[in-house]
Amino acid sequence: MGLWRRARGPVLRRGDDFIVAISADERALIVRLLDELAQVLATADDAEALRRLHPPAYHLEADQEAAEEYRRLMTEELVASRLAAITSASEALRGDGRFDPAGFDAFLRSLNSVRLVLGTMLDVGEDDEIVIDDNQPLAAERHLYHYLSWLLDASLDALR
Amino acid sequence: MAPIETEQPTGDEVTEPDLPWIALVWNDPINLMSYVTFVFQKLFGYSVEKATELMLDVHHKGRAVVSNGPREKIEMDVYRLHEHGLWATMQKDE
Repeated sequence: MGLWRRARGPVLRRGDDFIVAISADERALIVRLLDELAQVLATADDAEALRRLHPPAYHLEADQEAAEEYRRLMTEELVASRLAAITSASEALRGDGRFDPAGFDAFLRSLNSVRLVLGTMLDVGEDDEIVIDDNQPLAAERHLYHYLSWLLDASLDALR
Repeated sequence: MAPIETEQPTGDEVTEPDLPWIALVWNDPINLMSYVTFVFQKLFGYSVEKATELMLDVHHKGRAVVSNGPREKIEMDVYRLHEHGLWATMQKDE
């Protein structure tokens, strides 16, 4: 019969495939965000935004040479990996929002990449209350951040 | 018993003992607990129980050791954790 199992949210699963059953507007919004992130990654313009995406690999003072080597060798790989995930996720979202396992994995990572950039911009705290003053600057970004958090959580739910 | 002769490394190899390395994941305010747990299961094959335990260690203690081994393997682990957006670093296991 091939029933779709509805998780507690908008993500449906049948076997190994997933449908992110959000509205077309929401899909378009996410595609736009992914596009923006891809631009930032490709041009490496916004160092601030990218800083959180490229953490150091070594934290001890004694290993800072190794840290520099890692940064030198792996930054481009990391960027390429993220761009590939974004391309894959965008394609599915532009279509019917249906993902195979690899595509869904790319979608999860891409959602999280956007969250990392937004979260850094917003300087979110660990236990921030989700009360947004629409008159404050970055209110739209705050709404977006919480929306993406909800969607990522719902998507992870569907994996269980 | 005859003494055992061990072969000493020569040339460019470092003379310090080959200590294993450890990969640590640090707490951050952005990553979801559900996501961190998922990443640990995916990258290291941990059960959901073990992955959750590690995630809670990160959350409550500020950081947790998620894998250990030779330097190259650990650097790869750190890279894959970075690919998933986690704040991961490595050090020699002392």
